[in-house]
Amino acid sequence: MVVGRKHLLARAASLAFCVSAFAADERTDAPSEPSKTSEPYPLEHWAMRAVISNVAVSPDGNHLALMKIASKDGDPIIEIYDAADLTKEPFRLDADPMEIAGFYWASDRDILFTLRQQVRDKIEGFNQGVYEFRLAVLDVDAKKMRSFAGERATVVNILPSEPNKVIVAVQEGGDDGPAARVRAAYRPLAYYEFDLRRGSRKLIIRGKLALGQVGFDGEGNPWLARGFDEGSREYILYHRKRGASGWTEVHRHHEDSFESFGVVGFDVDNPDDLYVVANNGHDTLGLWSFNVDTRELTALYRRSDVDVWNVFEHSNSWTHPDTVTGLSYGKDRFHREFFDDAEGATYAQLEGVVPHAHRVTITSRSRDGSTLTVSNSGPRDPGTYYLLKDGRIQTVGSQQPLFKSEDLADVEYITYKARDGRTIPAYLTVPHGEPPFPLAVMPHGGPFVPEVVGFDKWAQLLANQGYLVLQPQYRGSRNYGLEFYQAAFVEGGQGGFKMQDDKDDGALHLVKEGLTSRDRIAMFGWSYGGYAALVAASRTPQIYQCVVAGAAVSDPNMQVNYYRFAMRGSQREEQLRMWDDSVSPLDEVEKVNVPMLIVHGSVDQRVPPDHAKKYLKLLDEHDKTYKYLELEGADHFYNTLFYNHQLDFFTAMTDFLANDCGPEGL
Amino acid sequence: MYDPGIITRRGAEMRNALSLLILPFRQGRLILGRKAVFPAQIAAIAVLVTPFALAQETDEADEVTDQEAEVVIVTGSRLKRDAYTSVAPLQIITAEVSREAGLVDAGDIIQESTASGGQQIDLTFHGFVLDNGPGTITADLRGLGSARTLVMINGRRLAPAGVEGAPVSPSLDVIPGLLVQNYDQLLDGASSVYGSDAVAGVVNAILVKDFDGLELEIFPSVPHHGAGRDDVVSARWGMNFDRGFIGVGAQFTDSEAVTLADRPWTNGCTKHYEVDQGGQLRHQDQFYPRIYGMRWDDCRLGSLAGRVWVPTRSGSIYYTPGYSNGGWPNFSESSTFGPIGVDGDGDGETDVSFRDHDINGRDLFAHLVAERKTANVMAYGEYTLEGEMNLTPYFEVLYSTRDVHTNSGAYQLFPDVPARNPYNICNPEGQGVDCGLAEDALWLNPNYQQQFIDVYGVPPTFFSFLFNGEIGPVGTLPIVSVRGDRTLNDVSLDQWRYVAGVGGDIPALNVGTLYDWSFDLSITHSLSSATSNRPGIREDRLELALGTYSSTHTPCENDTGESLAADVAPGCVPINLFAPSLYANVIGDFATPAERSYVFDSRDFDTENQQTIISFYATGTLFELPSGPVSAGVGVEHRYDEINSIPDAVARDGLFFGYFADGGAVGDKTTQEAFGEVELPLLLGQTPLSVNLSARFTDDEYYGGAWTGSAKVGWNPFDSLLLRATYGTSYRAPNLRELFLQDQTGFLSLFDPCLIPADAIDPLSGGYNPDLDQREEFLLNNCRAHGVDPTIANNNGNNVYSVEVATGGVLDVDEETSESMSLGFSWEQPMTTAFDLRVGASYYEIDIEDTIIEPSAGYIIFDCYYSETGTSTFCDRIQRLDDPVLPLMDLVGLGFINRDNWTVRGVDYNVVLGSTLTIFDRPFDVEFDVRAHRQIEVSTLFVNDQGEPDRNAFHREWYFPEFKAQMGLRVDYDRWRVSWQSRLHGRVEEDINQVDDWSDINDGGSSTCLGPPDDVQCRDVETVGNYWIHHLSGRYRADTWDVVLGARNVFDEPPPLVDSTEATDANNVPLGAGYDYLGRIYFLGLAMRFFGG
Repeated sequence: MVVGRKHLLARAASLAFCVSAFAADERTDAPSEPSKTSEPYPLEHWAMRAVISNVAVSPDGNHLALMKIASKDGDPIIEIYDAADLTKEPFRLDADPMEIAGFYWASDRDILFTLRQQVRDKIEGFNQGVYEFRLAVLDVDAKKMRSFAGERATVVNILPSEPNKVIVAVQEGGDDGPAARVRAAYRPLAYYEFDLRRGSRKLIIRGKLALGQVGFDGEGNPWLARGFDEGSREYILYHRKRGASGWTEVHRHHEDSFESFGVVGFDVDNPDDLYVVANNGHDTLGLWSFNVDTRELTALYRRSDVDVWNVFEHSNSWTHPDTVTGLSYGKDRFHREFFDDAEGATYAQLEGVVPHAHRVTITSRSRDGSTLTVSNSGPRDPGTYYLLKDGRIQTVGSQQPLFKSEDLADVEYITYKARDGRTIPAYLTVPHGEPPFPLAVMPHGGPFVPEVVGFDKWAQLLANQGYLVLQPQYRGSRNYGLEFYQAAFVEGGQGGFKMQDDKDDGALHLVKEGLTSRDRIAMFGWSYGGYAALVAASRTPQIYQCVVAGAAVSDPNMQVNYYRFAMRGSQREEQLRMWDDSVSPLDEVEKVNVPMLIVHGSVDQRVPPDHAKKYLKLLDEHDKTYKYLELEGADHFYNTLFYNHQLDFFTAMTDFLANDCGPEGL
Repeated sequence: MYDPGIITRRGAEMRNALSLLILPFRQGRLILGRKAVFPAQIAAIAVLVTPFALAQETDEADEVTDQEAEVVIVTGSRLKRDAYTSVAPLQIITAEVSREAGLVDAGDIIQESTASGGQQIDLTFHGFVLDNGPGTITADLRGLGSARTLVMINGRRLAPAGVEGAPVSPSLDVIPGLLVQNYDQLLDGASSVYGSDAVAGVVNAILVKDFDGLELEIFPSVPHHGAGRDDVVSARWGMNFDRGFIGVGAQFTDSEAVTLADRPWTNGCTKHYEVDQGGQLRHQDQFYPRIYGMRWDDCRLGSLAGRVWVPTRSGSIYYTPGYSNGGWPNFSESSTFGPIGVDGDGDGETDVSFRDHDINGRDLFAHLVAERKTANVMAYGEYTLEGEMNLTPYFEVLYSTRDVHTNSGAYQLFPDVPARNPYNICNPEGQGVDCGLAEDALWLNPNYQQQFIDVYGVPPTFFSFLFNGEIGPVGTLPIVSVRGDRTLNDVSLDQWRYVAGVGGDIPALNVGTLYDWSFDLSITHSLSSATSNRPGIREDRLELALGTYSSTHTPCENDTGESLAADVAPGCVPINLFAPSLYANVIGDFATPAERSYVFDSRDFDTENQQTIISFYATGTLFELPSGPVSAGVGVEHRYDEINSIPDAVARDGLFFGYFADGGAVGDKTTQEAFGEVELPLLLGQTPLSVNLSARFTDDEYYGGAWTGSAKVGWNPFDSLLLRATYGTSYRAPNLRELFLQDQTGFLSLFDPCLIPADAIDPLSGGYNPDLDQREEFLLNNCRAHGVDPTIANNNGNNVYSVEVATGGVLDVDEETSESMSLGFSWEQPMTTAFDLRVGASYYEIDIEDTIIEPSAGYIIFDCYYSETGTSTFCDRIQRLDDPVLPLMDLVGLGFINRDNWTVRGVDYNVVLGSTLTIFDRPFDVEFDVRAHRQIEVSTLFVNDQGEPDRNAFHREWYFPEFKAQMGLRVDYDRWRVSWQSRLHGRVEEDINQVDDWSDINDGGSSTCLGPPDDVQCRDVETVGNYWIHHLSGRYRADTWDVVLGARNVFDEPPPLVDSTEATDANNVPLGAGYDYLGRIYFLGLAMRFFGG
C-alpha cells in the first residue's frame, strides 16, 4: 500500500528516554474490561467542557502551565505549576474581561497569550467585529501580564533561538479610512519582530495582496510566501533562499484545480527541498519533496487508500526548530510515520507506557529534552495529560476526569458496500452489552471534510446510553481521495441521493451483521449531518424510527446563496454542483414519516436559525410530529455550545430517542 | 513555531466532535454581514486559505480570517485606533457610489452632498468677481462659506489655490477624482484637532493607495444634448517591496464647454418668470408691446446695445440702418413723451423694438459651463528602515494643473465720445449731423406728429420749447457691445504639493504603561501658481483714440497734458465708434482689425499661494483601563502661509473700460500650534462609554493666541444603539485675503437715500416738496448728521448713480470663534438577520461669533442711513463729495470687519436598509440608503451698539432648502449591480417678509400683468418646489476589469426656471443652487488592472 517512502537519516537517539525510568506506581493504567453493570453517566458529566487543556512546560522545564475551566460556566484560567512539584499551589491568572483562548511558552519566563473578548452580537455595528483579539505576555518571574502588539496581531513564530523575541503578524490599516474596512480586513499581513523585554518591534516584511502570507523558519528567516494572481487566477508560491533578499516564484496552482499543493515544511539539511502535501496527479494526497530549483516533485510517501494529512516536527521545538520528523494520516485511527528513528522510538516508548494509548502527542518539551508533557486521547481516553520529568511520569489531569476508561466504548473501523457497489468506510462505536443494539447513524457535517474518530463525545455519550453508533464516511468525505470526494457532485449533487444511500446502506449492513435490528435505527446529525437527518425523515421505504437534526440545513439553496457569489474556483464548482440539484428537505416535508427532534442554536451564524424556522413552519402546515429545541445563545460550533446548551441538548436527545423514537422508543 | 500540541488538539476537538462545515459556510457568515461584493482580490485571498488548510490538522487559519482587523485613521481624530469608531458625526461618500451616479469630479461630488449648503461655486460662475477667483471650485459645508470648511487630502490640509485678488480656499479640482477612494465629511467643528477653518466641518479626500501593478481607467461622459462631453482617464501603477512601496497615479480630464445655446433651457433668452393671481405662469412682457407698440417676443428686456445716447431729449437713439425717424442717419428714436413708441414711417409698427437691440438672447455663445482641462499626477512611497524604531521615511507628491477657458457673453461698452470727434454722429463738423436739428426732424415727422396728437391732442410743434435748433457738435455716448470685450478669460493654474516625513516608533518611551508610542514628523509644502488673462478694451487707449485728451478732439492727440501710461500712445489708431459693424448685430466689432488690436489689451494676473506646514505628532497608549487602553496624542505644528497675487497695470489700475481695479495681495503669516487629544474607554455600568477630549492652542502672528477644545462622548447602552454628543469650540483666523487684499475698486450703481426722491420733487416747480416726501424723520436726521441736507440735495430724482467702491484687507480684524455641538444616535436593528437596518440622526448647531464680513455697499448705505438710532458703525465708510448742495457719494469702503454672528442648525439623517432577496432561487442583495438633511436655521445676528438684535434668517430660502436628500437603491447579483440614485433638492422660497407685492406694469413692479381692470396682478416666481433628479447605472465586475454604464439625470429633468431678479442665473436657470443644468448624461467607466508580482 505504501508506494513511496524516503527514509531520512535517523538522528542520534540521544533524546530517547529510558522506559525503565517510569515509576510503576505512577501508572494509572487500569484494566479496560468493560464494566457491564455500570449505569450510564449522568448527562451533566457529558455537558462539561474540557476541564484542562493546553498543558505545556517551560523551555527550562521548571514550570508547567495549563489552561483550566474551573467551573462549568467559567472562563478559562491559566495555572502555572512548579514542574518539580505539581502538588504545590499554582499561580493562577485570568484575563478578565477578556477570555484566554490559548497560550504558549516563548521563553523560560514568558508565556504568550491569545486573548479574545466578544464585544458585539452582530458583525456590523459600532465596533464591527464580534471579537476583539489581543496578544499578551506574562512574565512568570515577575507575575506581570501586559498586552502588546495592539489588537489584530497573531504570533507566527516564537524564535526558539531568541528568548525575548517573537514574530508577530499584524493586519495593518494605513490611512485608508473607514470605507476601506472591508478591504482592510483582508489586508495582507505585516510581520514584525517583537522584543518582549523592551516592548519594541522591528518591521521584517510587509505583505501585499499578490504576496501576502509569509512563513518564517525557526531563525526568523522568511522562506515561503503565498499570493494570488488575479489575471491568471492562480495561487502563487514564492520561495526565498537562505540569505537571499528577493522572492522566487516556484509554483502556480490554478484556482479551478481540485488538486492540492501545500508546502508544509522544508528539509533542514537541504533547505531548498520543501515538503509538499499534494496530489500531483494522483487520487490521494501524498508527501512529496519539492526542489525549488528544479521544481521537481519526488515522492516521499503516498498511500493509495487515504490522504497524507501533514508532517509533524521534532518534539523538541527549541533545539530542532523546523525539523520534520514524520507524517501523519488517519484511517482506522490516527497514524504517524516517522522519518526520524529517535523520535519514532520516543513515541513508541510513550505509547508503551501511556494507558489506553491511542493518539499520543508530545505537547511540549524542555530544551534539554528531559521534561515533556504528553497528551493522549482515544476511544478509551477523553484526553489525559502527563508530565514526564526526571524519568518519572505523572498524570497532570484529564479533559473529562469524570469518565472512567472502562465505561467508554471501543471504536471499530469497518467497510461496507453501498448499493451501487462503492466501498464505504465507517466508524462503529460499540456499546457495552450484547447485540443487537439500537443504532444511531451519525453522519458528520461538512460534507466535504475528513473524519477520523478517536474520542468522540457524542458517539461515546450515545454508546454510554446503550446505542451502537455508526459514523459512515459517505461519498464526498475527504481523506479517501479525489474520486471518492468528487463522487458526491460530479454527476449531479448526490445530497439526498447516493450520499444518503451510503448512510442507509451502512445501517442495513449492520442489520445484516446482526449488530442492530431493522426496527431500532435512528439518525442523528449536525450541520450537513442534520441535513442528512432531515432527508432521512422523508425517505421511503423508511429504515429509521426517528431522526435528530441539529443545526440542520433545511434549504440548501438558501445556504448556498449566502456565499454563492463569493466563492471561486474549485470551491465554487464543488458547492454549486453539489447543492444546485441535491434534495432540498423543504420540498420533502410532506413525505416526513417519522418523529423528529430538531435542534438549532439561536445565533447560529453558519447555518442560520432561519433554516429551522422555515422547516418547522412547513412541518406545522403538514401536521407532522416533531420536537424542537432552540439553544439560546448557541452558535454553530462546538466551542460555542456551553454547559447549559449541551445539557439541554443531551437531555432532549436521550429522552427523545428513549421515548419518542419508534413505537416504544429506540 | 507553534506548539504543535495546541493546534492538534484544537483541530481534533472541533472536527471530531462537531464535523463543522468547512470554508464556504464561513464565508457565508461574511455574506450575512451584507457586504456581498468584494473587490475580486479579497475573495481570492480569503479562498487562499483552503488548499493549504484543508488537509492539515490546524484550524488556526480560521481564526485569522475571522478577525476583521485594521488600524485606521478616522477623520476627526488623530489617534491611531483599531476599529472604525467615530463619535463625531461623519458622512462618508465612497467614490464607487459616486461613480455609479456618473460622478468622478471631486467638486461635483462634494457640492452635491447633503451637507453642502449655500451657493456652491462651480464652473458656471464666470463673469462674477469671486473671492477665490475665476475657475476655482470650492467646498462649502452648511453654507457657512468656503473659508469655513477645511479641505484635506489624506488627512493633511489642502492649501489654497486660485488666481486674482486673494484666493484663500482650496480648489477642489486639484483632487484627482479617479484616484480618490472616499470623501469623509466631518460635520462638526474640529479646530481643536485640525486647526483653523474647520468651523463648519472638514472634507477629507482619501486617495487610493492600495494598488499593486498597473490600473487603467477611462470615464467618458456624453451628454444627451450634445456639447459638454467630459473625458477622464487615469493610469496608476504601484509596486510593493518587503519594506516599502511606491506608487504613481495620473489623471487627465477634458471637459468641453457648454454654451447657452447647447441646452434647451438656456437656448433662448432671459425671460420673465412671473405668476399671476390666478396661479398662471407668465413670461410675456406687457409693458413694451402695450405701451410702445414694440414687436416683442417672450424675452425680458436686458442690456441694450446698438444705440447712441445723445444729449438731447431723445436720450438713446437706435440703429435702424437705412432709415431714421428723425434726422440721425441710420438711427431712430424709440419712444418719447410717455407712452409713445415712435412709428415714423407710418407702417403701423413702432420703428424701434428694444428686442432688436438687446444683448439678451444674442449671447448664446456664452458659456453655461466653462471649458476645462486638468492633469493631476500623484506619487507616493515609503520605506521602513531596519531597526526597532521602524523609521519610515515617506513622501507624497501631488501635481495638478488646470486650464479653464470661459466666455461670459457680451457686455456693454459706453465711452464718452467728445463732441468734435470726427466720427461723432452729433458732430456736424465731422461725419455727423447737428443733433439738435436731427431731433427737431422727429418733431416734424408727420407720422410722429399724428401719434403725438393722438396722445396729447396737439402736435409737438405746439410746444416750441421742444425745438433745439442748431446746437453744433455735442458729445455722445455710444452704447455698443464689442465681441470678446472683457468676457473671455483663460485661467491656468498649477499646484504642487510635497509631503515628506518620517514616522516611527518610540521604543525609548517604553516604560511602565507606555509601550506603543509612535510619532510622525512631516513637512508639507504647497505652491500654487496661477495666471489669469482676460482681453478687453483699455479705457485710456479708447479715450486717446477718441480724442478725449485733445483740445480739438483729434483722435490720438494728447495736447491737454493728460498723463498717460507709456503703453497708451504708441500705435494709436483713430477709433470709429459709429461704424455699422458695431451696431448691426447688437454684439459687434470695430470696423477694422487695427482699431481692435489697438484698444484691446490683456488684463493679467499672476497669483502664487504658498503654504508650508511642519508638523510633529506622537500617539500611543497612556495606560490601560479594565475597559481598554487610554490612548493619547500630542503634537505641534508650524504653519507659514504666503500670498503673492500680482496684477499687471491693467488689473491694478482698472484700465479696462468699466472694469474693476484689483490690487491683488501680498503678505504672509506664521501660525504656531500645539495640541493634544485623549480618548478614554469607560464603562457606564456594564456599557461602554467612550470619551474623547482634545485641545489646541494657536498662536497667530496677527491676532495673538486662542484656545480651542472639544469633548465627545459616545455611549452604547445596548450593542445596537450608539448615543453620542459632541461639544467644541473652533475658530477661523483672519485669512490672507482679509489681511492682505490690496485695494479692489470698482463702480457700482448705488441708491442714495439722502437725495430728494423723485416722488418728492414737485412736478410743477421741480423743487423739493416736503409734503410729498415719504422718508422717515430718522433717515433725514441721519443724512444731516453725515453732511447731507436731504431736503436740498436734488439730483433730479436720479438717486441711483455710479459710485466707486473699494475693498481691501485690514490687520485689525480678529479671529472668528465658533461653538458647535451635536447630538446623535445610530441604531442597528438587532432583532432579525432577515435584513439589516441602520438608522441614524444627528442634530447639530454651529454658532459663530464675530464673523468677518465684507459688507456690501448697499448694506453699508442702508445700515448707516436707516439706523433708527443713528449709531451705525458703517457711516464713516461712505465718503461724499465736498459739495454743499449736492454732496454725492464718492467712495464706499467695503473692507472687512468682525461683526455678525451666524447660527446654523439642522439635522442629518441616515438610513440604510439591506436585505438579500431570493428570486428564482438566486440571491439578490438589495440595499437602500437615504441621506437627508433638514435645515432648521440659518441666520445671522447683529447686535448693535444699543444692544438691539437684528436677525436675518435664510433657511428655506434660496440655497437653503429645508430638505435635501440623496437616496440610492442598489441590487447586486453576482458580479452585476444595478444602481438607482435619486437626489432631492427641497422647496425654496423667498423670505416671507420679502415676497414681492402683487403688481402690474402700471406701477412697474411686474412686467407681465396689465393689472385691473382688464387683468390681474403678477409677481416674480420666487418659489421652487421639490426638485428631483435620478441616475441609473449598471455595473459588472470581472477579476481584472470592471465596467459601469449609466445615465445621469435619466429623465432629463430640466432645471427649474425662475425670474432672474430672484437668483444668480443664466437665462433663468439658477446657478450653484443644487439644480442640474446639463440634462441627461450617458457615462461609461471602464477600469482594467494588470497585476505586478
